[in-house]
Amino acid sequence: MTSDPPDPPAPRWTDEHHQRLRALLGDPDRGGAELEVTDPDGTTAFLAAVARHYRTDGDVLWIRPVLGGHDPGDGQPYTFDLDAARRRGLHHHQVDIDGRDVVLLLASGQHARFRRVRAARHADLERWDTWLLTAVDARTEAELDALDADSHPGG
Amino acid sequence: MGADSAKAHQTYTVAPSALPDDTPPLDSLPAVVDGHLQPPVEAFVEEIAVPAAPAVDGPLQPPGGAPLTPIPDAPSCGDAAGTPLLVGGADLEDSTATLVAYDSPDGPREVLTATVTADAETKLLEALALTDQHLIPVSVEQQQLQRPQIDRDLGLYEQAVTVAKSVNHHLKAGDEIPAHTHDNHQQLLAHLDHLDQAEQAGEQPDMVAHYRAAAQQLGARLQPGYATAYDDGGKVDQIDPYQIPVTVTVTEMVPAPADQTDDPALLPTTIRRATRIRPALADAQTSWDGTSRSKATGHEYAIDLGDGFRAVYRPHTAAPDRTAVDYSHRGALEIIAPAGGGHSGQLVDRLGQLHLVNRTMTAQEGEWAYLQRNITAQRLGGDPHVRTALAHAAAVEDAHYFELIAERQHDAVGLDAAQLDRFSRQLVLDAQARALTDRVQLVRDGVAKATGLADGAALGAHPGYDPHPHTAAGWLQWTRFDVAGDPAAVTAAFNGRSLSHSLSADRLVGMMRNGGTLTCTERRRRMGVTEVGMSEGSDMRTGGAKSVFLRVASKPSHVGLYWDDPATLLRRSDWYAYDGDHFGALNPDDAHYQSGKLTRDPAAVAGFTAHSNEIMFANGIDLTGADAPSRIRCGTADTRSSVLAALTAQGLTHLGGRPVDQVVTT
Repeated sequence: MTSDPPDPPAPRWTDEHHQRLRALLGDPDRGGAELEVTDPDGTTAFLAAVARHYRTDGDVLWIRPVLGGHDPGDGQPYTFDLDAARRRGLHHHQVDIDGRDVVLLLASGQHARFRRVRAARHADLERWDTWLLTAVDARTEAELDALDADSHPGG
Repeated sequence: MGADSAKAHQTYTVAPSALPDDTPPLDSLPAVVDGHLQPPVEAFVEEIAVPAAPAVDGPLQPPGGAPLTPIPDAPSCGDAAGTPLLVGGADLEDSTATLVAYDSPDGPREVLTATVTADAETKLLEALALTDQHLIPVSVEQQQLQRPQIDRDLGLYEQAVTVAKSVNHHLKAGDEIPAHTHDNHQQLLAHLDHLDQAEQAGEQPDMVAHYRAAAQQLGARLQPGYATAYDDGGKVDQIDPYQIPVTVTVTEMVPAPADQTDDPALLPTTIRRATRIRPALADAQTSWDGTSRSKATGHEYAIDLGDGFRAVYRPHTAAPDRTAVDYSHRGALEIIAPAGGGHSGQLVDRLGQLHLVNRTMTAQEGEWAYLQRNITAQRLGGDPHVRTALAHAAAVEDAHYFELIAERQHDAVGLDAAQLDRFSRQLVLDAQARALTDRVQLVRDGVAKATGLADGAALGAHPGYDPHPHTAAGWLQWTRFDVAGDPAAVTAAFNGRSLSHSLSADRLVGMMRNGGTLTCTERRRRMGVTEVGMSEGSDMRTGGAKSVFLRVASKPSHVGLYWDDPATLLRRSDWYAYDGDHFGALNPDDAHYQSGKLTRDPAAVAGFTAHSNEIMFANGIDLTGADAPSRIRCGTADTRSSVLAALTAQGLTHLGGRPVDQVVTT
């Protein structure tokens, strides 16, 4: 077996990058972040609130967009489809701070910007916080926080 | 076919050919202008013996040919995945229907499920009695689980959840629970104390007890010095809303009495809130009582097919003043047989009552479908040989259609509107059937030349050419002949890297207990799997995805599934891949989709470098069949034991031809 080709140098995440991202992600009492991915021409390709956890792994930043939410009505709790709210990886070459935001230059040529969550998506994040903290058991919550599983099928 | 298949390769020939011996070679065929041959049809199509005049009434006559997927006499009872069938025509998504036999005390409850395409919806709705003349509003009493009104008024559930959310958040963070959380907790207790004393408590004593139990849990964690670790019992258990069965009156549009409608041929239909079958799943066996259904978004048509058969359909397009159906549920059709087995054939046949094609696909139709999928998978659509072949194939069908019109036009004289409609639809079917052999030969020839082979015969002799679909766990898969013909070369290109899917030990064990299928939420729901964070009776809108994904991995490092021979999966024709997570439209059918980064090239996938790469597979992966992984990495001896026990319980001793204890590792 021949060896894999060498990986390109990983982007340098400093303590400041980590602190800024953690501050943006915040906690259920305050803060919250959204992710906007834009194409090179500036067109928005993706926009969603992100759950309050992340993990760096070489040149990949793992995050979890808050998607797949559903209000069943009749006073039932809001739920999330974890196939939709699965972990996503941002394969990037560079990480920068732009004002209060954290910006990544992705390998695809797109840009990924983490910024304070805006009103339109803040409700999604609040519902996610509620669901995660009150409808999911501790083991599953830890599993989601770890951001190392590709899926979470029910049982 | 497949790595473990003992079936010798067969050479497939197109027989008999309808093309005359002096048919000019493909390259010299007349040009096609706006879908019509130039010069006209007569220069190309030989005179064919005129068949007997077709019937003007009764069911449409299907084309001849053996079924590609025979209808089973009885689907395996309790098999959560079901038995997939290929249905002729293009009325159903992927031309696929699935037969499921749910276990029940009354015997098997057989259900045919399928997704009707948007294009076919119009003719389905035309079969239903849906006009104002046919439907009358009726107040119907239903039993529903609901929160008591006093709970809704006081917001007891919301209060409990608000406190629980804060308590759990701060316990997890290890910091002080704020004063307002304590205050909220006291307020909740005060409400409960008041209810204990007030008259309302007499009506709902269990409700008070329910929320008091939750409040006590919360209170314990609010005490100074509470030290139980969050992930070791400290996290407050899920608090469910208290619910009681309530009789509610809803308005449904139900069929009018027969004497009030002038068209008894239309099917009696009720319009009601959308639902899903709610089965139960235990030890990979699925059961259903025939009535339990969960609520869904939008509305549906509940259709009486007669003789105890019924159908349920969720439309693509919402009726005026009605909520749209959840995206992933649109077009969903169920045909439900009376309890007791042996109704498979009738279930398929009753598609015809809904004006849908109601026969299984023939082998020739299957080969056409196989060629189409290989054109997509191998990106041959832009090749000049393939483009020309497809254009000529369309023209051949047109040619046969016009020929049939000429043959049979006199038979249309005197027909009424319904008979004329049938007449024209039969013409289309017969033209398609007559043209099929020619079309398959033309396109096979074009694909052959596009891939460097001499002609269609050479392609038929290709070791990877296999126009038969393969049954997986409830769906059908087609192979692509480029990979199937030389899987070793594809695997060698990966240089020791594997395809993988990571998941936690708990999820791995649960998945293997539920039948060993890696599949999407919508399909798991049909099986009866209860999803994470879902409370009983509630509905979950799925994200709409109908595929699963794997990644190219260098080294096994997580609990999960590993395929050391990537060709095992890449021989499928239904995958596409990105080197890195793709932020934008993933589905090539999406309007926002950009093709630049997507690949279907196995060599490109072998060269993926991004850890976040993704290879998407339609429907899912059957882990216990031909697509079985090389390794199931469990992480611990306990998890390994649980996975082995799950496999043993299902009678599985081998996966992918290897003993399970060699596949399942720690």
